[in-house]
Amino acid sequence: MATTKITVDGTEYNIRMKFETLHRAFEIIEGPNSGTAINGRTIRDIIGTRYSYQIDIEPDPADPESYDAFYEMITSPEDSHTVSFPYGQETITFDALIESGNDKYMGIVGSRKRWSGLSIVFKAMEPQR
Amino acid sequence: MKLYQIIIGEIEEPLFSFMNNEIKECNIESEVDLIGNELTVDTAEFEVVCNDDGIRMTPYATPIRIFNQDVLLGKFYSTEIERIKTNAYKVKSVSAIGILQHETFYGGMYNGKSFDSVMRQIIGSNGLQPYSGYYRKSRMTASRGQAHCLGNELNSSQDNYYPVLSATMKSRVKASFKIIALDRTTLPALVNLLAGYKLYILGCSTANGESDSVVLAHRYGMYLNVKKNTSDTSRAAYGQMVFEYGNQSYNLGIPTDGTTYEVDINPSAGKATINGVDYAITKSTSNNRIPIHAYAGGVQSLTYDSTKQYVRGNPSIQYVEAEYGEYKIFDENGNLQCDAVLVRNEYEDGYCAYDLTNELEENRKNSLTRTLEPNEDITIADGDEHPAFHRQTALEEEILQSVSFADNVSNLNVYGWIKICSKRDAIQTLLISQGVIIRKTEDGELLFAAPIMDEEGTIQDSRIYDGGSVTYPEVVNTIEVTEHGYGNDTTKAVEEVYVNTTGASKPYIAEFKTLPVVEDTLVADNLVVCCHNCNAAVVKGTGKLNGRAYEHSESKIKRILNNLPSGKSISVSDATLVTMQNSEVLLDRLEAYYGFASRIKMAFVAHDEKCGAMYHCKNPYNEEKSAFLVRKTEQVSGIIKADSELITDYDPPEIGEGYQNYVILSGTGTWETPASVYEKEHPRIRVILIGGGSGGAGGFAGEDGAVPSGATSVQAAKGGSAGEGGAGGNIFNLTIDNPATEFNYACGVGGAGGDISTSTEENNPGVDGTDTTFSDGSNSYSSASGERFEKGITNFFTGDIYGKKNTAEINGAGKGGDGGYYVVQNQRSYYTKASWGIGIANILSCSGGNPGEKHYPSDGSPVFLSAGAGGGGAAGQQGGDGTSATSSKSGSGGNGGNAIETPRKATVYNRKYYGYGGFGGCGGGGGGAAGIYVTGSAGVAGHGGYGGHGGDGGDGCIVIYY
Repeated sequence: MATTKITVDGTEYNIRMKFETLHRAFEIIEGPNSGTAINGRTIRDIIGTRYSYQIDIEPDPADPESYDAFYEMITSPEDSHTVSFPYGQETITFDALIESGNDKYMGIVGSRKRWSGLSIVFKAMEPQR
Repeated sequence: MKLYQIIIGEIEEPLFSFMNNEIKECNIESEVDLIGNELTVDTAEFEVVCNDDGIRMTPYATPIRIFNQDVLLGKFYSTEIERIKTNAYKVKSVSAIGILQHETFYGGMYNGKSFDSVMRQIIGSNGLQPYSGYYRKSRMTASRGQAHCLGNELNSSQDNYYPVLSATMKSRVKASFKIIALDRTTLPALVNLLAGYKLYILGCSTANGESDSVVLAHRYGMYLNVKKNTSDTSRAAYGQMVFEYGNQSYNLGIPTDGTTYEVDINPSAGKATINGVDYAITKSTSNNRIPIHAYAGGVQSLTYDSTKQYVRGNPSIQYVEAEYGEYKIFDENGNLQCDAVLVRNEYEDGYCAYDLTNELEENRKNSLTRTLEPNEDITIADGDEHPAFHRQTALEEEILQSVSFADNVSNLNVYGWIKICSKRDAIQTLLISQGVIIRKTEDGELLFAAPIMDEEGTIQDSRIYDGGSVTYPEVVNTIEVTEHGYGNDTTKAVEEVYVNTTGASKPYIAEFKTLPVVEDTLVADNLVVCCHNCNAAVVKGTGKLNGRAYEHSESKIKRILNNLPSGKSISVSDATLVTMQNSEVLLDRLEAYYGFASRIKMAFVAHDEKCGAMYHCKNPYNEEKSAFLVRKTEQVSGIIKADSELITDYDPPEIGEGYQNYVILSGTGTWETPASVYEKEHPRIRVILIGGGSGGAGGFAGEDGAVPSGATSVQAAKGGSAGEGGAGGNIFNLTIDNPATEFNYACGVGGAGGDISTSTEENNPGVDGTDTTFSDGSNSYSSASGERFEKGITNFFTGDIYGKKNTAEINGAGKGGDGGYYVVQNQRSYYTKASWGIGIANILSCSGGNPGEKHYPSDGSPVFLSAGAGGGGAAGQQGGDGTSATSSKSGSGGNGGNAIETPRKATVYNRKYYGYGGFGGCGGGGGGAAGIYVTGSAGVAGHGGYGGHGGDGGDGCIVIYY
């Protein structure tokens, strides 16, 4: 388990990202003009390429309030959030939408309510390329 | 990601610009009709994200350009902007044609005007041209700021003072001519301003109507003139062309027609060079209120032509061409009046326009820009704003500046009529008549061109979507085209074409009741006519306009392609610019289209393909084709998918194949086919055989006079009616493809007019003319194969009419005069004199006879016996006088005149009246009544005169278009 500070909408949250749970995915978006040519070749109507990231989050036991704040942020009814993730040897920042997520209540430990197993997908609002 | 961009407003200064993701949806529809049967409006509709709600205030018809990277997908003009979300708008736009469709064009009559001139007129004006006869037919003097029109033919009863609105010249100077529209305030000031400024070749002038001169340039407050010297009576200078500069003058010699003067003005060198000879000029600064900019120089030239009319007026105000820029306008005392901006617009083909705006008067538009062609005349108007005058909109101006014409289209000759309609309809009428289509340039501007049979690119297989279909042409049995002719029939009566009893102090547009009207015949009764064409006029006040309507003739040509029950018929009947000149080419085009063309419906990935161009592609069945792209609906996404229609197997005739020349043959002889006929793609001549016209019928005799029963009223003895005009000769209209090199011909002779008649009920018909024949030895043609047309047939080149039924008598010509008679009322008698017999075709009208003397009893009692009435006159002979009463008898009536004059043969009366029917013979005069009486008895009534001979029909002719 690694402790990682995650920045969303310019706010840094003291939460932990589970080791080896950062997944990157891409999608080449097709428009309505895709089809097949008379010679059998596919006609692609590429609108662009969209990247998305999935991560599993755990609270820092020493700072459960930061986890709670993060949860409040990601579940707020807003169109999108600005996030940054590793991209190649660099970082990519984009507006991401969050559609759903779930975590599990682990009971009270040390007079603190424990939560675990939060998995989130950050999906780009629009093609990055 | 593709780079899309939409720019609203001008590229240099966009009002709004949208890129990529700001454009949510964009659909563009473009279409070209290859035969011009419809003039479609291209549309673009798109949705954009925009946080500036000022987009809602985008003016109507703001330019919109849609780009795909560097490729312009189309240029459109905004029509509607709808807010669909908080920050999203739907914008609708149309092509230039879509904007023009809402404007009215008042049409015109065209007689060989070039295609581009007509098209520019449609786009940039409302079609109401300045009155072309203005200067020739009126006396015009001009002083600063005012043009004084006296004795204008259209309005002889009023003197009107107007500032000069615009001015130009009659084919004198090669330079283009400009219009400056001014009001009473700014004109004198501008004149004062321009008098100290640079002006190029300007125009011709006759100062105060006395001497002809050509104003070459104004600089430094001085005129630089070349004029024909008629004021200096010294032998050396009189009649010479004189170059004047300020108070210096140089004789250039006696001019002859065609002499060209080339003038290069070079003030910095202190000289002007005319035809290679230097003349010294000196700068004057007396009126130089503004800085003189660098003068580019350059040779200007003009050609002397003594046959042309000169514009009359003060040259200092009429011909001005200045550089654009900001001006300060002074009055004649040097006091600053206002600031103004003079904008000059130049067009490639020599058109020019000025717009002077007085910025200090915000609510008053005292600028008015018009673009005139070389050779147009001056227009005048008063200083008020004139909604009736066409105010060239910024859009029209922009379109005018941007339209272009393919080389083989510009100089196509246009014949025929355009009615009052929308500009879109006028353009469509022009396109279908000439086979021109509207394409788009790389900049999205209108390009008028013919369909080009060369492939302009390939739509690769990988871009063509699977699917689609091919529609084969429906079976067409017949194709029919109506040819229109507009003849100036001088035997036709002038009629009232417009009347206004309520009037208006400001100019307004008066549309004529009868269309179209021969412009030269327009006469105003109390109305002030500012300008007009054949359909309408800009007028002021109350009154009416009279004029003679064109004789509109129609003929149809037909081609039979099939004879199948399911076949349909195609006809073009309302295209009033289709005449014999271009009808057969139109028929060829329709046949090529409806007879052979197939239509491919398919979708492809669009790049920069343009409607109207030909592309190489495969149809949905994998067959290689060359096809015209005629319609595409583009949906913009990552790529552009164009649902399209393409036309294959369409091979239209070459443009400009219409007839360019004509010849009229009369008598007998041999005609050789000109070599130019064989140089065409389809060697062809159009031959119209017009037989001799029938003679006119003889006139009817006048009635005998009445004999009263005592002191009672009698009726007038009616003069005889004119005989009916003769029928026109037979007209046989044929096209000869691949004509022989030589033809023998013999034109028919007009038939003799009918004999005289002593009957009031019956007259004698004329004799039919003989036929006209035309033969190449193998094939013989005769007018006998044709038919008679009451309206005859019109020569589209000249407007002359041939083979027409003579209807002169319908207008009252040729009638015999009524005899004199008495009416008795309340024991008093009233005498009505015998009336004149009216001539026909310029033969003599003659008066009725006079009554004799009354009888006065010697005892001084009232008159009991009246004189005999005079007989009615007849053409060529007066009515006889009545005799005097005696003591026992009233006077006898005079005999009606005999119509002893015979109308001249039609082709003698007017040598252009080939194949015309003869004039009807004139009626005899009615006999005069015997005098009334109380005592005694009546005299003898006068006899009616006999009706005269009818005139001979006109000889036939052959009209050949080639």
